Amino acid sequence: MAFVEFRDVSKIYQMGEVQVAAVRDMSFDIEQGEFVVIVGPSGAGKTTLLNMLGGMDTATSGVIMLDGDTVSAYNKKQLTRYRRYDIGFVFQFYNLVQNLTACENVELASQICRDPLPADEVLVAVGLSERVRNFPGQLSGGEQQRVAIARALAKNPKLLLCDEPTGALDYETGKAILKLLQDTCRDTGRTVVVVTHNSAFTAIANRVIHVREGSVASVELNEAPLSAEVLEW
Amino acid sequence: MKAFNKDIVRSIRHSLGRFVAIAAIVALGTGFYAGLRMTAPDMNLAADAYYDGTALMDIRVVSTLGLTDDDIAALHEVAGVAGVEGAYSADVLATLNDEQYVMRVHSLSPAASASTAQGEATVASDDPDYLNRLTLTEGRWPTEPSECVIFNDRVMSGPTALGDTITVDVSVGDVADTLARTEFTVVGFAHSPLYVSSTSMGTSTIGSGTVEQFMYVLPEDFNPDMPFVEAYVAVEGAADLPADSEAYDTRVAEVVDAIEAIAPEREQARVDGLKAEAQEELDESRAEYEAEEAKAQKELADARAKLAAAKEELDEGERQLKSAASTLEANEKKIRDGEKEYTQGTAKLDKQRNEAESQFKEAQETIEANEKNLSEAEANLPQMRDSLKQVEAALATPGLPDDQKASLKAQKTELEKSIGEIEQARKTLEESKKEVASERKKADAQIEAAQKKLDQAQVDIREGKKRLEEGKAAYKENEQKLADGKADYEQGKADYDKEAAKANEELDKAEQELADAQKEIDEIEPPEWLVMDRSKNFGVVSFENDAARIDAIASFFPFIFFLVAALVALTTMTRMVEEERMLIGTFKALGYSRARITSKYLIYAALAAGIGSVIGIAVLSQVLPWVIMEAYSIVYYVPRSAMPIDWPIALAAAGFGVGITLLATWAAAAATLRETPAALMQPPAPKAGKRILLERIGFLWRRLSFSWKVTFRNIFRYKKRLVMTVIGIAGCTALLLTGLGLQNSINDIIDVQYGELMDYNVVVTEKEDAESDGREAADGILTDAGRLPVAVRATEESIVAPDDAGAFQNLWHFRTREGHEAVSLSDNGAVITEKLAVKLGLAVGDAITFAEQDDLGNATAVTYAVPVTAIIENYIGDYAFMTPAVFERTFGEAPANLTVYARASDDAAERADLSEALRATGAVDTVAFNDEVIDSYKQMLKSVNMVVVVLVVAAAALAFIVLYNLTNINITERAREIATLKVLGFTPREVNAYIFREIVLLTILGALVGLGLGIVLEGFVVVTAEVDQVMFGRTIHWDSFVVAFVLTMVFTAIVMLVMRPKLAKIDMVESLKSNE
Repeated sequence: MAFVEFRDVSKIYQMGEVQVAAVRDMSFDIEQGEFVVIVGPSGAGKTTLLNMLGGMDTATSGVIMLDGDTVSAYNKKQLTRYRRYDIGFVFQFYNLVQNLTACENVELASQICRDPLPADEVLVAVGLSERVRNFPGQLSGGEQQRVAIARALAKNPKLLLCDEPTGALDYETGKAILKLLQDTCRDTGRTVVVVTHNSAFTAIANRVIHVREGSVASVELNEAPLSAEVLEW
Repeated sequence: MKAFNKDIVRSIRHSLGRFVAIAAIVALGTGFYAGLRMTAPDMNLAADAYYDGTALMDIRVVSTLGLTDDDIAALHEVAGVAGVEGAYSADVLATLNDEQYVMRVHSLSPAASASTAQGEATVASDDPDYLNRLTLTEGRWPTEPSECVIFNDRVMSGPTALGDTITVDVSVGDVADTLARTEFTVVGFAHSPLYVSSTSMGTSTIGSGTVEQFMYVLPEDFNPDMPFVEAYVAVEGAADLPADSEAYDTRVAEVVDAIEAIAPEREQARVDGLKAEAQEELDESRAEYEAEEAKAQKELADARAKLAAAKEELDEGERQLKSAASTLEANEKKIRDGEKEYTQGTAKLDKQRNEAESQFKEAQETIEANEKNLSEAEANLPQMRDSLKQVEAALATPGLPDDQKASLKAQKTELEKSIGEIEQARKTLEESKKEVASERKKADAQIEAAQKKLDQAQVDIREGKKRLEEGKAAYKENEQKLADGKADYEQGKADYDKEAAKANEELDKAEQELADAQKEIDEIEPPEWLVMDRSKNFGVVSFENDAARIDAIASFFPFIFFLVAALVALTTMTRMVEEERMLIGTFKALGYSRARITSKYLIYAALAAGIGSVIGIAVLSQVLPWVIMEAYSIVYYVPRSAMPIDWPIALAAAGFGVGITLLATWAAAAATLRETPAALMQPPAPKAGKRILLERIGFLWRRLSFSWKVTFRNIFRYKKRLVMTVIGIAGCTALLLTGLGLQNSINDIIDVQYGELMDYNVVVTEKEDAESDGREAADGILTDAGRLPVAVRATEESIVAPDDAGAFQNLWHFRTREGHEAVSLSDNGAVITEKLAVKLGLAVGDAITFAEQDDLGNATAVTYAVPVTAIIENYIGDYAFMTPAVFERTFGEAPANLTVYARASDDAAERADLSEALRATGAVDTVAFNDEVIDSYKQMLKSVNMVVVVLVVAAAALAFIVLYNLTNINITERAREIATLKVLGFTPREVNAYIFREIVLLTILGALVGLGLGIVLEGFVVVTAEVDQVMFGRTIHWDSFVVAFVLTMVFTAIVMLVMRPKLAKIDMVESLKSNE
């Protein structure tokens, strides 16, 4: 059994009398420790997929499993626990709490989970040892995203989900962030899922899931992914 | 519609919460301001409508000597006078259902029964001279003498029913001179515009000093000799002017001046009339006096003549007595002589009798001897006769010899001779016997006659003696009689002297009295006309003052609401502008001018504020005056009239409300609008996090969880919201505290005054002219240890000089309000009550000055000063306390002390017994238990309760608006943050805490500030709302603080409960969106 399993997952919105399927009968697997890139154009259902995988939304039908647990069967409370203990989330716009310092933003996450990694260590690991006591407003975009990654990692999650992590960043910084994510995957064996519209990123993934019009168009495994450092787009 | 305008409309539709928040706070602010400001005009309007509707007099004319029909007619003639009603009135102490009241008895105009009530506030009558028209609430008008209508209100009425009897106490005041009847039957209940306030109906010189009830009776029930006591005057055109306007005052003042102008003439006329009348009476009296005097003099002369005659008689008696005495003496001598004679006579008679007796004895003895001899001779007689016979026979024998015959003849002659001799002897003896017997008889007769004479003399003497004794007794009697007569005469003379002196004295007195009366007449001062406008009517004035009090509070209270409204508008509009940053950029980029764009927000704010103002003013300008007047209706009878919107106030309120909102909006928009379109297209530089002071305290800060850290940093990050929330919540708490504190203050009047300061519960006033034994009896009852632990006499009124200062202080505890330090009376000066000290601006050590009052209650120039030794806590009434020594030193006379303060049982039946017993002594004027006073304050408390409700509602509204707004802004602004937290796996509880903790902290801060603000506000309201002679409590109880605080928290909790779903609704997907 795969680490993450999507089996015939559909998400259908009722818009008045019309049913709109954001995701239809989507199935794929992700193995533990993989660096996965989910790629597709805008409106292909990437975000819906991510929401369901991240426990932010429920599937209309189908089964989602993580590490043997059936996430799709969770109620609201269980979903909260799932997000709390199993998922680390990195947002496109970092979503740091402006009123907390870098360190405190990391603690924000670590203080609520069972087995957190020490905040300062994580910050050192993402290369922010100097900016620990700065507020987000005092950090550059890349630094903020590093804090966000640190925040996600500090929770020691089973799965790190990243939604367009470089979307708001310039090229170089984006690359550095990708590298950080790839290194995290490689060094800690944590499963990392990156959702992006940029198909260039597929080169650095172990597994690439192409999404189109709410369905999985193809899944390809990359035996020798490139290092993010050499990636160009 | 232009696209731009459509945008405005849609903005409103999409942010209805925000729009409503602004509208609501502006509604609250403007509504409260307008409502409170309109209350006083509405109250005055209602009063004016009632006064006009019932033709309340504009002017009351009272003369010190009463008013005549001519006076009334003269008043009619005064220019500007529309109507005049002459009326009688008298203050009496009357009993109604076992309760004594000071009642003012008025004469009811005959026009009353023909009048028709049109609603509560209007009484129509054909008689323009029928003023102060009564509205009958129950029953009927009096038609017969001894029927009355009385006042029946919620405070006073008690269990009064139609048909109850009112009995006037004739011993109080001069009932006999004023009323023709003293028992009245209640046939109706009425309201009078003269008495709109049931708690201040006016002052009286009798009983407790305040009028407690009024009574209207037919004029016939007044003494027919009485002049009118007062005249009520209606001023032409005054009814068309608002009663509280200057125009009204001016109009009335004109007529007052006109009346005062005719006053001297009328006063002179009155005094002339009175003088003439009095002179006539006096002249009559003088004639009567003179007649009386003549009569008295004649009587005296008669008495004198009688005395002289008596004297004469006495002298005559004396003379007679004297002659009687000499007669008696002569008689006595005569008797003494008679007795002597009688004794001599008796002796002579005895001698005669003895002599006669011895003569008779001798004669008897001779006779007896002769008898014996004779008897012996006679014994031989028969023999001789026989011998004779023999001789004779022998002789007769023929032949006898002659010698024998001669011897026989000789023998016969012998014999015959002897016999003859014997017979002769017998004869002689018998003759001598006869002679002796006759001699004896003669002697006896003689003796007997003498004896008889003597006996007669003896009888005469005895009789003479008896007569003498009688004469003596009679003499003695006469002597006594004379002595008595003399004594009587002396007495009579003394009496006469006394009577004469008395009569003379009386006559002199009468003469003097007449002279005095003449002098009095000569000196009759012209009466003084007092021309008073409505400002002398207690009800009218206290209603007006209460309206003014509301106005004073109204000008202060809504300030909080306006301030909060400005802050709400500022924060809300700031947030709106921030939210629409990109839109503004777009508009700018599209070429809209800054003014045009700003206008969107100004229009938005103006619409919200405008709608809020309209709703707020429309609703609260009706509700607030209604509530406040309803509260006042507990003590005032002024029927509510229409409550029109006062446009100047409404426009001012709305203008102010809209104005500050616009100002705040402009301030919020200006900064943003200054930025370039390009910058506006960018998300705003997020407001950077900042370190706060608390972080310096490392050990504390490190212990805080991130959510506490965020909370603290947020609180200080958004200062506008901090200020808005703190002020809003502070306002809420302050309003609550004000309401509760006001309740405390009035409760304290009862609880502290009657629970802590005063231990007496009954005040007994004794009659000034009471009999001393009645007074002793009353004192006996009052000092009865079982019933009344302590009773102390003291002067009533404002100066209390207890006989026993120590005992008095057991009944009335003196202490300072702050610190509760005990204070005692000393001979150094007076102790005065706090409110009095404040009113007069006195401090310990200053001198308080008392002024003598004239008959009308005005201060005169005669004043007395005494140093103030202490100022004591007191809530009801103004008092100066002093020892009798100080009193005497100050006023030059000992205190009269007719009032007894005492502590009686709480049991109603025992109290009734006590009253009964005291009244039975006849020495007691009034027996007043504190309960009645307490009751009237409880009524006051009821009216305050309504105000408290208004304040609590306002406070709640304030809290809801502010907190809703704050929460709303916080939630929308932090939607991303909240979504992120949710994605991070925060439980709903943790998310709520994250947002609400901040609100709770701000609320606590605001509430604490509010408690402080509340103390100030409550202090202001209490001092402003205070009425004369009463000091409200000055302390807010700790539980009021707790309640105000807790209630604020409860409001907060409710807002949080309401807002929770909104928080829960925030979609996690928000977190994925870009900053707008």
